[in-house]
Amino acid sequence: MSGTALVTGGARGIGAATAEALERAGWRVLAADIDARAVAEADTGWCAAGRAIAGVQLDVTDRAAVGALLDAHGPVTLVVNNAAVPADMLPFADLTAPQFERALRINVLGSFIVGQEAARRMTGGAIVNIASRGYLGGIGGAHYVASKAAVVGLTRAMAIELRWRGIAVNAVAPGMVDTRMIKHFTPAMRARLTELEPSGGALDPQVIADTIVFLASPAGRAMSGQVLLVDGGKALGVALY
Amino acid sequence: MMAARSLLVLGKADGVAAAIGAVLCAGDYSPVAEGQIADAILIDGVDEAPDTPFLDLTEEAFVAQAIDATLDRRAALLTALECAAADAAILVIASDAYLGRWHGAGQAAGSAALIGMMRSVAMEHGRSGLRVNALALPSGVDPEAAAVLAAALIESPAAHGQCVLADGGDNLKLRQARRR
Repeated sequence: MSGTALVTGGARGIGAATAEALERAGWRVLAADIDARAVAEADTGWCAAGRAIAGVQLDVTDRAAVGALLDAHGPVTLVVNNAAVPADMLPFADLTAPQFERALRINVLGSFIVGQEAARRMTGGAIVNIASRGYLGGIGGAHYVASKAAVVGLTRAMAIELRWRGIAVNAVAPGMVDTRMIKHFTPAMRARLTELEPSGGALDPQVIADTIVFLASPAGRAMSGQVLLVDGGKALGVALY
Repeated sequence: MMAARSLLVLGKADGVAAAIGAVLCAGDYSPVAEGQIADAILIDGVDEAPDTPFLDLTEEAFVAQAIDATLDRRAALLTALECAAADAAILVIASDAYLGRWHGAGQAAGSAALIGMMRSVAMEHGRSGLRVNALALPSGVDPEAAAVLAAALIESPAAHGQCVLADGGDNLKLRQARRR
């Protein structure tokens, strides 16, 4: 495949792994991230290695900035909505309305804005929204669960409408992945969660990146409105939608 | 003869949950007001079905449908937990938009967020005796028909953390994404 891909949350973790995997697959990649320092560090490394990846600073909830980026670097034929805030693993009753609102604004509104601005400029291609296995519910972090479930609902609605513009919209729902997000957990919580993983531990971000590369391929684009659970099998037995 | 069980309805007075609650209260349930302990609680999580193409949906409308609605439903779930008897049943009345909806991206996101919250609350309270489920309805549903399923979900000791889609099988017709 070739063309230009936009990956949000692209300076580290799943986003950076995805940017690099897409570049290896022949894409020119815009790796956007709100963290200017992380963008600068990643961009320096990519430039030094001669990679076709450009790090750019971007707030996904800033519609004007998203539109300007797409106009400056377009046409984009692949969007990976990966930018998200991590979960605070508090019980439902202890999570505040501002915690819920922040998760919903960044994880859901950000995906809506980037997806909509990109789709308005696209005549075909693919959008991949990064959800989480957490969309199925969890003990603690209900704000994150709600936001990722909303990403799944949004994905299905976008898929229904955008298919007729030649745009496939799918979601990837990763299980526990070895990124900064789980380093945010206490050691005890990380140990408990690791014990529950059927694969024996956190997944390598590369696994998620490879799934996204597949969804960007012609075979992957034959699918739309799907949620790929990439979690080592932990969700087995859960009643899905 | 079984004593009447108390029922609290949270949400719009003219909403689907209120209509279902009225049907239930014509039978075995007696209504209670917010602040009182209830054996069964209905939460109205259904809003007006919008009809705006994804590409034309304004940010303000999306925020209202997906974010503000979720914050309101979070507050309703918190109230339900405060008012629930130890072995109470909480039933979220949701829309079927969580499956995705033509010209309804904001509603789809908000509806899915509600199902996610319901499942998290169910998981967190699974050992307390509380039961939490959702009944997902299409627009224009008959409250009498919906009340039959609502009563079954409230009364079932086995149903917990489930979202039951009650659309008469419309989802089987695979119509949402047909060429327009």
